Amino acid sequence: MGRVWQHGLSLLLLFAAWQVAAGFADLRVLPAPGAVLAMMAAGVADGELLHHLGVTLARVAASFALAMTIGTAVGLALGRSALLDRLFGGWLLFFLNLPALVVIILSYVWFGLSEAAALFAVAASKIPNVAVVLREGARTLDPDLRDMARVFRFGPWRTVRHVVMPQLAPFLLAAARSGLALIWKIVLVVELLGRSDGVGFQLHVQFQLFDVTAILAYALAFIAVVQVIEWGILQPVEHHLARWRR
Amino acid sequence: MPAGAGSLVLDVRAKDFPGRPPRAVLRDVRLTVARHEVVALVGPSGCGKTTLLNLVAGLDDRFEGTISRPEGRLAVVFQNPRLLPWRTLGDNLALALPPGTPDLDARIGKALDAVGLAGRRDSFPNHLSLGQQRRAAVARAFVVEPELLLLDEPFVSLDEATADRLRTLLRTLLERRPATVLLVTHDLREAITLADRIVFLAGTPATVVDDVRITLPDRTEATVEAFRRMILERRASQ
Repeated sequence: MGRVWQHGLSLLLLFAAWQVAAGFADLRVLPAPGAVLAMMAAGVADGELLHHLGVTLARVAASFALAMTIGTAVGLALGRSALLDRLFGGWLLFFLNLPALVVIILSYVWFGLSEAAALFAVAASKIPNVAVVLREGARTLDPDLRDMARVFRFGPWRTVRHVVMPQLAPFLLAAARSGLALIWKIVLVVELLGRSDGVGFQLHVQFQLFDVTAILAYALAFIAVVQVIEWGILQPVEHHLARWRR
Repeated sequence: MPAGAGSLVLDVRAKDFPGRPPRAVLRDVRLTVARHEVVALVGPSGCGKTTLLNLVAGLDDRFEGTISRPEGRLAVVFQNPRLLPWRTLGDNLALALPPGTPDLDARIGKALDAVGLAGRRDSFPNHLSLGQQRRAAVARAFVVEPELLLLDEPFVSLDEATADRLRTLLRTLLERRPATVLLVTHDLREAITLADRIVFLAGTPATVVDDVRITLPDRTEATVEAFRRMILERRASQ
């Protein structure tokens, strides 16, 4: 209980500092936390905020799933085959250093301002990171356990499920974590540049109206959702996967 | 004459490790282990015993020669227990059996009971001592009811008392359920305690240098020690 209390206090201090700062600033540039919370409540009440948040969440989920699937497949292939790694390892480095903004612009130019282009752009910016992490994971697979699985006739399915996946789990989790953090941000940029709904689009609109209160309301709602996913999904999964450790 | 059914027949003419130049590890290792015979493979550390065991286990097929194994299942007790650390002992044993095995639960219970780990079925391997993990590895080997059982220094790096208990346990298990056994060890006393026959591997590349049948009516500390002296003298005089 002590730690929850400390977290609460920390949050309270942040809001207090914000309140004090708002007292000195022009309220149009930095509104007080109360005004932002009221705006959030209004947005939730008329469904507007929830709609855009939902759209963004759906985009995050779709591009995250796409990036994890393709990135994992690429990473495993490169990690298991020295030849493939020599042939295509260099490509990874190239794509890794390609700015996400370039990918987004090119994607919109090539495929038009469509939902598919948006999802592709987000996934493509993340795939190289996932691939690099999973390549490392594939390289560390224990040959001793593989031999054991062969001797005791696990078969391919059981070998993947009980021998390979548990070894890759920390790498998948690391990729998922850094992946989500990155994708949240890229999705907003994609929405800002070429979509007509979602949190990114709303931020863009409120920026043009110079409505800082609305911008902060969307930002806070966004942060809240990210935190819920962190505490509600990622941490319990991590805890469950680590239960066998000493 | 063809060897009897259920025997293990090794004819490894050459095994090299790739490299420039390739390193010759084994040459002309010919050996027959009769059905339900226990043969210990003894030699200095690093002479290629484990390499040979990997060939017998079918984990490495890059060699010249042939190996004919008894029909039925193979089990290996590795030098490291090689349990899946993220699965409980019960699951580690269950995975060694094909899905849908009748009486799966009862068989696992019996196997763990036989090695004195009945209460640890839901424990993860990392929560056990090394001796307990070794016992679990032995239980996994016996739960599949193997025709051919390979043991690679199964009791190394345990204290002497624990290793002794495990050797006794292994003998009991083999009396209850015999198998054709190849045991790799560098410990001559362990070989005499457990085996019907000792095959000595030595040299670079390694080859069979001696083959001794153990004829002891009962194996107490004294008789094993006497037999060990006898073998050492015989080896010295060769």
